[in-house]
Amino acid sequence: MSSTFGCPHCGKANPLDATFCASCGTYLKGLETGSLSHPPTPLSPDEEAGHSKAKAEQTAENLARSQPWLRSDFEKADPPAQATPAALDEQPWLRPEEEVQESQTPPKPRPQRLVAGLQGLIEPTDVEHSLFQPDTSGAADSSVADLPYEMRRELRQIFAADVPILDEPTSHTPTSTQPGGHGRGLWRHNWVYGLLLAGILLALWAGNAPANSRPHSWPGVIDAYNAIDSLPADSIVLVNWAYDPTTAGEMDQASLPLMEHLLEKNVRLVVVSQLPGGPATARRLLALARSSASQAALSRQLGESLVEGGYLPGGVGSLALLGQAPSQAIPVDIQGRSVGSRVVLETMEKSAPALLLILAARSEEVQRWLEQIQPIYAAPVVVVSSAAVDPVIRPYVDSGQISGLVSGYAGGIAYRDILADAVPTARQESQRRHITGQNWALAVLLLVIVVGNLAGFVERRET
Amino acid sequence: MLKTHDSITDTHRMFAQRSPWINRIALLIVALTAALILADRLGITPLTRPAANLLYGWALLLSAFTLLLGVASVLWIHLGRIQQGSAEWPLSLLLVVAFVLVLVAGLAIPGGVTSPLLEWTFDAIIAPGQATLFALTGFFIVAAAYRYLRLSRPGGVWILAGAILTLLVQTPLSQQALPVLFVGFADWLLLGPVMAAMRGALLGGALAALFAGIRLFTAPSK
Amino acid sequence: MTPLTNSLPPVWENAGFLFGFVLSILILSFIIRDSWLVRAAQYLLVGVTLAYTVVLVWSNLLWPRLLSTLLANPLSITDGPDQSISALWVRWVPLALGLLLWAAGIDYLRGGRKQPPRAWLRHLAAFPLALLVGVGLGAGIAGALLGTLIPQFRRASEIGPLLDASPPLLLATLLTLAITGGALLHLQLGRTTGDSRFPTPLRPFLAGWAWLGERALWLTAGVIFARLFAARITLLVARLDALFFGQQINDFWRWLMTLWQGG
Repeated sequence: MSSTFGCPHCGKANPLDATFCASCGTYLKGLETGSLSHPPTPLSPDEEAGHSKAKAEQTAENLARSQPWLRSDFEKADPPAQATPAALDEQPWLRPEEEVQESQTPPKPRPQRLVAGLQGLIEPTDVEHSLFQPDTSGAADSSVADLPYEMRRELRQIFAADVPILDEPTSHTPTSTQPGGHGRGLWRHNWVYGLLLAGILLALWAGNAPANSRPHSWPGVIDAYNAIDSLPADSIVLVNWAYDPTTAGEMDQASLPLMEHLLEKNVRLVVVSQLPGGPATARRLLALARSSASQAALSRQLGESLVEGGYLPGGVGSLALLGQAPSQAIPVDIQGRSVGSRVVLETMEKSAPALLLILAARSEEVQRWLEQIQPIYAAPVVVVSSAAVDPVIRPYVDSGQISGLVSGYAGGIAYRDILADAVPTARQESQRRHITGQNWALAVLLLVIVVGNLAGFVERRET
Repeated sequence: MLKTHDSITDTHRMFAQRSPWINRIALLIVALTAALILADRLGITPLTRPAANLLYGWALLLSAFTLLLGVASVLWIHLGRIQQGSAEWPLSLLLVVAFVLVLVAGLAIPGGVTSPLLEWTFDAIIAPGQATLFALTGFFIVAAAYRYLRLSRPGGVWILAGAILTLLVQTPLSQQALPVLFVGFADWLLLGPVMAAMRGALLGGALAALFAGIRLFTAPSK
Repeated sequence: MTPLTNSLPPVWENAGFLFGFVLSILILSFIIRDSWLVRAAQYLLVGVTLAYTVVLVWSNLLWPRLLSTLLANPLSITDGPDQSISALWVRWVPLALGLLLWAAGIDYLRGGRKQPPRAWLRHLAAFPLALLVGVGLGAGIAGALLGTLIPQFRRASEIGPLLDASPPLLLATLLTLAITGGALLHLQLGRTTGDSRFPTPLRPFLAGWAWLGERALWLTAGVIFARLFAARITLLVARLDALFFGQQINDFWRWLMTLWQGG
């Protein structure tokens, strides 16, 4: 009999006497009795010894039934045992987000992670094949006040941008490997993928957006420009490079104009990253920015002007150290050379940087910087972010903690328009293709939304 | 806030698996460390600054150690799969071989990750692979729109209204066809109601993290 | 490729592009079918990325900050600005704690379920973990207070400007305040604003306020979805553009044609 049981929320195996789940923190004590309506009665020592053994066995048996992936023969078994809803019915607060549902299917087992705990390396690799299973709760449930658990889990995956790595061996479940092939009719999402792919490829090939076509510039770009334009020469800018190749496709477009502007202003950059892929991404974009910088700007970008602080793990602790003792936080650069005696770091020890620049694809990175670095330096902050992060960090813009915000590829285009720099032809063509791609992608999305609503209407009529 | 939540679950894991005395000593270390850091950050006394910086430095180095341990645990899983001949063991072998090759190249050649070979590896494998992997989420978000952006869903009207308005304004082709007032309304929506709702969410999250941290010390092993 | 690989022979650049192209196509084929080729690409990517991380951590952190200085001069005073702290505290203590963590972790991996890990190692490893947790907790709470709670509460409760504001601005500000409170109320209390915890006269008011917050959150969810769409589609468009229409693919074809024609 197993000496562990699975958490009802996330499925992680925990010792029988665990109070909280080691993975998600769910309170586990209620599961031991199976019912909180019956308080435990006092027992004699002999009874207690026997009872605790029986209780352990019973608990493990109950929970192995409801979490069949804990069984040693799980991979060989054919359909996994149906989880009993009894435990979830009696402890509804154990359900995800503490919502009571009328009819629920228990959470599906989470696979082992291919990569766990490596910050920013690969996003969490939760299984995604369940994302495209048809809504088995029935058409009537579409009118139920709350979304079923599976759908809420799917939405969380979407908003957390989980990448679709299947890290369970799939040889015994071949039907689960078709990412869009589940269900009947339009529930199979292959048509969505095909339509989107065809639309974008055609758009890129046509590239027929007008040359002066521009996306909407969301508020904050002009403030960012003014904050950078007002920097005196030789001022220090501390840069948090909080994106890596996963989001470089968007973030490079947003960050490049600002980097070029900073080089033109002849400021001194101190670049750090809390992502393993960050320093390399930074070097590439800086090399690209320098390739288009003027000769005057290039002649000053030597030695003291750029400190590549490299990789700083440790989350909030290392950020606080960067704020309070930068030379201790960055004793060496990315190439292992000592930078402790560099003038720029010595200056930062005595006075705050002139500007804090955050290039972030996730709101957590921006938040962390604003909570750890800005209270220490009290310097203006300019943020270059992904479009998805923009609404989340608007409160910080409103409160004045962020002086300027450039979000998404649209922000990058707007910033470049303010710079009024001559853009190379190849880049202009690329920009037109991108804009055409965005236009056609919207058309596909609107069509999909209309079809989805029609499908929902038809499903409701059929029930 | 994310790190605070991680700290709390780590602590629970520690307490669940050790003897009471060890738990008490560990909790004391957590409390003293956190108190010292708080005192330093809140500016209660400047005497805590050197000790706080020392602790930050330790945390930075210990994070490096734990990172490598995390890598070792992943490798251990895959070595186990290879040894037992589990399903997809050839892929695990591919993973391990790739790991060893890059590791040897990185450690043997001077320059670390800035050596030409590692830079080439980054450009040829890591950057395109990660970029393409994450680009797939574009497909999934459109598929999610099919399932979830429906008027029949709870709050569907409001969600669709916010989504459609923003989509039309942010896309160049549709934005040009919209009246200026419409675009101005979208800006106001972002800077007003959306910002206000997000502020409420931010405050709620910060308060929850704060109370969870306090609860850690009042009832650590209930 | 980038200027950073210029010291390699030119054929490496084209080989690298080809490698990345094939890898990308394999990963993209996931939308058709999750085949062993897709998984091979993923496993390869993960293996390479893990090794890259190890090299980065070793060459940028552990070796230059810790091990090389200890080996060069084990008992030296730290060369940092604070000369009063000896190498014992700055380097030997974290080294010992880190090795302890490794020992406990490796013992756990080796033992697993078949053989319980050594209890004394596990107990000792609690101390470096406790340090990490304590630092994260302290910095996290301080940051939440100083960086989010206090500034956001202060901004949300600013009523000074209201006194001289024009009617539209006053209305907008009051609406913002109402939505902030309503969203906080809805997130904290959900749909329980009508239950017996609250005095009866207050319940309809709280329920209405939470109703407003819930609608605002739904609207916000829609806006976030749209911005998320923009972000993800930008990634997809950029990737497809780079693969099939970008400068690199053109250069690659040109190189291939040159090779073909050159024999």
